[in-house]
Amino acid sequence: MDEQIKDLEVLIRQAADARQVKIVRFQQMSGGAIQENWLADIEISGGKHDGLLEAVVRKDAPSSVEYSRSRRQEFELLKVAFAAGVTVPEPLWFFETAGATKTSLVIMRRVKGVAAGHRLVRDETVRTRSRDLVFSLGRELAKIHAIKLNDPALSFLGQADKNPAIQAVERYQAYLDSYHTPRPALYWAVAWLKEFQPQTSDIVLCHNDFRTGNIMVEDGAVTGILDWEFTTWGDRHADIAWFCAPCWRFGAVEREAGGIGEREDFYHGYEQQSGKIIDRSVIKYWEVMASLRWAVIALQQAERHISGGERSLELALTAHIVPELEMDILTLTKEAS
Amino acid sequence: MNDGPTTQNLLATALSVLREDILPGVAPEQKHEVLMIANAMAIAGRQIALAPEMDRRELKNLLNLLIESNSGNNINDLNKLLIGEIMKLAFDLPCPRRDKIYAHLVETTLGKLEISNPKYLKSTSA
Repeated sequence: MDEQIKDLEVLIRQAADARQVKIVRFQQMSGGAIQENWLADIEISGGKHDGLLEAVVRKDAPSSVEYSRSRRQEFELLKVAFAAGVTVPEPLWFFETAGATKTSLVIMRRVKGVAAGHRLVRDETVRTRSRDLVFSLGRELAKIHAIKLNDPALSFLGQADKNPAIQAVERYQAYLDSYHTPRPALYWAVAWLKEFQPQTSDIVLCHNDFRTGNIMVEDGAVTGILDWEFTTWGDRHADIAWFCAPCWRFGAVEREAGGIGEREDFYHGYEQQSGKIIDRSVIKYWEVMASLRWAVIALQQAERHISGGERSLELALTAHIVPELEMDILTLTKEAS
Repeated sequence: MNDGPTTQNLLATALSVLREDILPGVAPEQKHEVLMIANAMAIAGRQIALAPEMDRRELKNLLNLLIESNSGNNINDLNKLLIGEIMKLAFDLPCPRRDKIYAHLVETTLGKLEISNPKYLKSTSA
């Protein structure tokens, strides 16, 4: 570890064009089943970053699920989002360390606040400012969706799926087909989603994990939209519904916008920023999709523990989230679309 | 003959020691982990207590639902048959058979929730 820190100091000294760099604090932060986050206080002498830099270092974890972005791509996405005025931690440097274990690192400026979902939905200040908070979150999401599809910096994202809904459903079905235990309630979602698939898609840059838990909040205001590792082209309603889906309310089920505030306040923020009217009738479709997606990811994460050789209590417990998601699916689909 | 305390008793006792005696003195950065341990032990306890009856009920309901299938007594095989039927369902018109399958899925899922997260049942009155 000490050696890694020394290597990192050298990399930063070169990148920041500094005389001297010393990492005075380096400790692992909680969270991140897919990547590791380290808190780093960096003393920099000389160059344009002269002074104490409070940073976060993101590092690849041993394995990943779904199709998560590489650290380099995540860094590019952060740069594009930062330039588009989205509230994100300022991306500073990307490094790829050579050696026996090749590791990718992203260094970004640390933002203050709390992201943990269960704490956020119970926070007093958040409760009193919930209306403004969800309104501004709607605006943040609209800013992400306004990022241009033809931005050359995002060429690594490839072409957008023509119909992301049906392609996602087929991907989830293929996983369930290969899964060792039949889960009828999840197939219920697959069949329902196939029947009611939207005729048209409204393709934008989707953050794809925009939800309570990935949003840093300080004093009831957004300080950073985090976790860009699933970002891809997708239907704008997928992001809107992911934020509002029952599974991301952290027990505060009656506050439909992420367990924080009113759904309509979130929609209004989005509509004011984007100039688009959200089609309320398709949101339920995408909330069923959100529940199915999270269920599939949860099964995959639990498999990493059960048969993937990654002993982890957190991953093991993730399997026990699936029944909630199955119940959400059944409740949402009780009446036809 | 093993005449010691039952598995359930051991788990419940260990869990109450963890929650009442250990948890209050745990360093803040380890609290999350200890809570996860407590949660895992509670789930395991409910699994031991409830899973056999839950499986029996699921099997009975599946046999009732798929009465004409003659496909034995294996829950996984029966669920695969049920999935085949679910994938052919239409959702846009009233359909008593679909309602029956739906009711079965709700009952099975409620059973799983009793083990995985009984708090969810209280929070949503699902």
